[in-house]
Amino acid sequence: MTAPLKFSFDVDCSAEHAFSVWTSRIDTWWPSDHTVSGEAELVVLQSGVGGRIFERTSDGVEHDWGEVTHWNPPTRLAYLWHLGGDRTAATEVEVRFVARGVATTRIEIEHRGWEQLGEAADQWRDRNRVGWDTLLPHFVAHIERGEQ
Amino acid sequence: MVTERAQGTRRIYHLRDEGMRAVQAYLEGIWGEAAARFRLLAENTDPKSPR
Repeated sequence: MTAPLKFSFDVDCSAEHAFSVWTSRIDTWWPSDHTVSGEAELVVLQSGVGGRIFERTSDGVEHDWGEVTHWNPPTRLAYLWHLGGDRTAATEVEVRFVARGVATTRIEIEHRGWEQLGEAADQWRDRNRVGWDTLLPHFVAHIERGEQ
Repeated sequence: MVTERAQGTRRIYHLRDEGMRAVQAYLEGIWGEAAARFRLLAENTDPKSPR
Protein backbone atom coordinates (compact mmCIF):
# COMPACT_ATOMS: atom_id res chain seq x y z
CA MET A 1 0.00 0.00 0.00
CA THR A 2 1.15 3.49 -0.77
CA ALA A 3 1.96 5.66 2.23
CA PRO A 4 -0.55 8.39 3.13
CA LEU A 5 0.25 11.90 1.99
CA LYS A 6 0.92 14.09 5.01
CA PHE A 7 1.04 17.87 5.18
CA SER A 8 1.20 20.20 8.15
CA PHE A 9 1.49 23.92 8.69
CA ASP A 10 0.83 26.52 11.38
CA VAL A 11 -1.87 29.13 11.21
CA ASP A 12 -2.13 32.15 13.50
CA CYS A 13 -5.62 31.71 14.91
CA SER A 14 -7.44 29.57 17.46
CA ALA A 15 -8.30 25.93 16.73
CA GLU A 16 -12.00 26.84 16.98
CA HIS A 17 -11.64 29.44 14.27
CA ALA A 18 -9.49 27.18 12.09
CA PHE A 19 -12.06 24.38 12.30
CA SER A 20 -14.86 26.80 11.49
CA VAL A 21 -13.07 28.24 8.47
CA TRP A 22 -12.10 24.81 7.19
CA THR A 23 -15.69 23.57 7.25
CA SER A 24 -18.20 26.41 6.95
CA ARG A 25 -16.05 28.55 4.65
CA ILE A 26 -14.52 25.90 2.41
CA ASP A 27 -16.25 27.70 -0.44
CA THR A 28 -13.93 30.66 0.06
CA TRP A 29 -10.55 29.00 0.36
CA TRP A 30 -10.70 25.80 -1.70
CA PRO A 31 -9.05 26.59 -5.07
CA SER A 32 -12.05 27.14 -7.35
CA ASP A 33 -10.41 25.59 -10.40
CA HIS A 34 -9.86 22.29 -8.57
CA THR A 35 -13.49 21.26 -8.79
CA VAL A 36 -15.39 18.65 -10.79
CA SER A 37 -17.13 21.11 -13.10
CA GLY A 38 -14.37 23.73 -13.11
CA GLU A 39 -17.11 26.35 -12.66
CA ALA A 40 -18.56 25.65 -9.23
CA GLU A 41 -20.67 28.51 -7.93
CA LEU A 42 -20.86 27.04 -4.46
CA VAL A 43 -18.94 24.45 -2.42
CA VAL A 44 -20.60 23.09 0.72
CA LEU A 45 -19.27 20.96 3.58
CA GLN A 46 -22.27 20.09 5.76
CA SER A 47 -21.62 19.85 9.49
CA GLY A 48 -21.74 16.58 11.43
CA VAL A 49 -21.08 12.93 10.63
CA GLY A 50 -22.83 12.03 7.38
CA GLY A 51 -22.68 15.63 6.14
CA ARG A 52 -22.42 15.93 2.39
CA ILE A 53 -19.57 17.68 0.63
CA PHE A 54 -20.59 18.89 -2.80
CA GLU A 55 -20.33 21.63 -5.36
CA ARG A 56 -23.19 23.32 -7.18
CA THR A 57 -22.86 24.98 -10.55
CA SER A 58 -24.71 28.13 -11.62
CA ASP A 59 -27.31 26.02 -13.45
CA GLY A 60 -28.08 24.08 -10.27
CA VAL A 61 -26.25 20.84 -11.04
CA GLU A 62 -24.68 19.26 -7.95
CA HIS A 63 -21.57 17.08 -7.91
CA ASP A 64 -20.89 15.08 -4.77
CA TRP A 65 -17.33 15.24 -3.48
CA GLY A 66 -17.60 13.12 -0.37
CA GLU A 67 -19.05 12.65 3.09
CA VAL A 68 -18.03 13.61 6.63
CA THR A 69 -16.97 10.56 8.70
CA HIS A 70 -15.60 12.19 11.87
CA TRP A 71 -16.74 15.51 13.29
CA ASN A 72 -15.00 16.49 16.53
CA PRO A 73 -14.76 20.29 16.65
CA PRO A 74 -12.35 21.88 17.16
CA THR A 75 -9.75 19.11 17.09
CA ARG A 76 -10.48 16.58 14.37
CA LEU A 77 -12.34 16.20 11.10
CA ALA A 78 -12.34 13.38 8.56
CA TYR A 79 -14.18 12.84 5.33
CA LEU A 80 -14.47 10.50 2.39
CA TRP A 81 -13.30 12.26 -0.72
CA HIS A 82 -13.95 11.10 -4.24
CA LEU A 83 -14.48 14.37 -6.09
CA GLY A 84 -17.20 13.25 -8.47
CA GLY A 85 -15.68 9.80 -8.96
CA ASP A 86 -16.96 6.46 -7.78
CA ARG A 87 -17.93 6.51 -4.10
CA THR A 88 -16.54 2.99 -3.61
CA ALA A 89 -13.12 4.31 -4.64
CA ALA A 90 -13.18 7.25 -2.24
CA THR A 91 -9.99 8.43 -0.61
CA GLU A 92 -9.98 9.58 3.01
CA VAL A 93 -8.91 12.96 4.28
CA GLU A 94 -8.24 13.50 7.98
CA VAL A 95 -7.52 16.94 9.40
CA ARG A 96 -6.31 17.54 12.94
CA PHE A 97 -6.33 20.98 14.52
CA VAL A 98 -3.69 21.02 17.25
CA ALA A 99 -3.78 24.10 19.49
CA ARG A 100 -0.33 25.55 20.12
CA GLY A 101 -1.16 28.33 22.54
CA VAL A 102 -4.27 30.50 22.24
CA ALA A 103 -3.42 32.09 18.91
CA THR A 104 -1.64 29.42 16.89
CA THR A 105 -2.94 26.13 15.54
CA ARG A 106 -1.06 23.40 13.77
CA ILE A 107 -3.03 21.91 10.88
CA GLU A 108 -2.13 18.29 10.17
CA ILE A 109 -3.59 16.82 6.99
CA GLU A 110 -3.44 13.14 6.14
CA HIS A 111 -4.76 11.99 2.76
CA ARG A 112 -5.11 8.20 2.65
CA GLY A 113 -5.95 5.87 -0.22
CA TRP A 114 -5.01 8.52 -2.78
CA GLU A 115 -3.44 5.89 -5.03
CA GLN A 116 -6.99 4.98 -6.02
CA LEU A 117 -7.14 8.25 -7.89
CA GLY A 118 -4.52 6.85 -10.21
CA GLU A 119 -6.32 3.55 -10.62
CA ALA A 120 -9.54 5.40 -11.36
CA ALA A 121 -7.93 7.68 -13.92
CA ASP A 122 -9.04 5.71 -16.96
CA GLN A 123 -12.54 5.36 -15.56
CA TRP A 124 -12.72 9.09 -14.89
CA ARG A 125 -11.51 9.90 -18.34
CA ASP A 126 -14.16 7.74 -19.97
CA ARG A 127 -17.11 8.50 -17.75
CA ASN A 128 -16.50 12.00 -16.57
CA ARG A 129 -14.62 13.76 -19.29
CA VAL A 130 -15.40 17.18 -17.94
CA GLY A 131 -13.86 16.41 -14.57
CA TRP A 132 -10.74 14.80 -15.88
CA ASP A 133 -10.22 17.38 -18.60
CA THR A 134 -10.49 20.09 -16.00
CA LEU A 135 -7.99 18.46 -13.70
CA LEU A 136 -5.58 17.31 -16.35
CA PRO A 137 -4.09 20.68 -17.35
CA HIS A 138 -3.13 21.36 -13.72
CA PHE A 139 -1.76 17.89 -13.47
CA VAL A 140 0.37 18.30 -16.58
CA ALA A 141 1.50 21.81 -15.66
CA HIS A 142 2.62 20.56 -12.28
CA ILE A 143 4.62 17.72 -13.77
CA GLU A 144 6.25 20.02 -16.28
CA ARG A 145 7.24 22.46 -13.57
CA GLY A 146 8.73 19.57 -11.66
CA GLU A 147 10.92 18.60 -14.60
CA GLN A 148 12.47 22.00 -15.06
CA MET B 1 -1.53 5.20 -16.46
CA VAL B 2 -2.64 1.67 -15.58
CA THR B 3 -1.22 -1.54 -17.03
CA GLU B 4 -3.25 -4.70 -17.21
CA ARG B 5 -2.38 -8.39 -17.61
CA ALA B 6 -4.36 -11.58 -17.33
CA GLN B 7 -3.29 -14.29 -14.83
CA GLY B 8 -5.55 -17.34 -15.09
CA THR B 9 -9.06 -16.03 -14.66
CA ARG B 10 -7.89 -12.86 -12.92
CA ARG B 11 -6.83 -9.61 -14.40
CA ILE B 12 -4.01 -7.88 -12.60
CA TYR B 13 -4.06 -4.10 -12.72
CA HIS B 14 -0.89 -2.30 -11.90
CA LEU B 15 -0.42 1.41 -11.61
CA ARG B 16 2.77 2.40 -13.29
CA ASP B 17 5.27 4.14 -11.05
CA GLU B 18 5.34 7.30 -13.10
CA GLY B 19 1.54 7.48 -12.97
CA MET B 20 1.63 7.17 -9.19
CA ARG B 21 4.28 9.84 -8.89
CA ALA B 22 2.28 12.13 -11.13
CA VAL B 23 -0.85 11.72 -8.99
CA GLN B 24 1.19 12.37 -5.86
CA ALA B 25 2.79 15.49 -7.33
CA TYR B 26 -0.59 16.74 -8.49
CA LEU B 27 -2.16 16.28 -5.06
CA GLU B 28 0.77 17.95 -3.36
CA GLY B 29 0.22 20.93 -5.63
CA ILE B 30 -3.49 21.12 -4.83
CA TRP B 31 -2.95 20.79 -1.08
CA GLY B 32 -0.19 23.38 -1.17
CA GLU B 33 -2.44 25.89 -2.87
CA ALA B 34 -5.40 25.03 -0.64
CA ALA B 35 -3.28 25.37 2.51
CA ALA B 36 -1.98 28.78 1.49
CA ARG B 37 -5.46 30.06 0.73
CA PHE B 38 -6.86 28.57 3.94
CA ARG B 39 -4.14 30.15 6.04
CA LEU B 40 -4.67 33.57 4.50
CA LEU B 41 -8.40 33.47 5.10
CA ALA B 42 -8.22 32.03 8.63
CA GLU B 43 -5.62 34.54 9.82
CA ASN B 44 -7.50 37.50 8.39
CA THR B 45 -10.90 36.58 9.76
CA ASP B 46 -9.99 35.49 13.31
CA PRO B 47 -12.25 37.54 15.62
CA LYS B 48 -9.70 37.23 18.45
CA SER B 49 -6.84 38.52 16.35
CA PRO B 50 -5.56 42.00 17.26
CA ARG B 51 -5.29 42.80 13.54
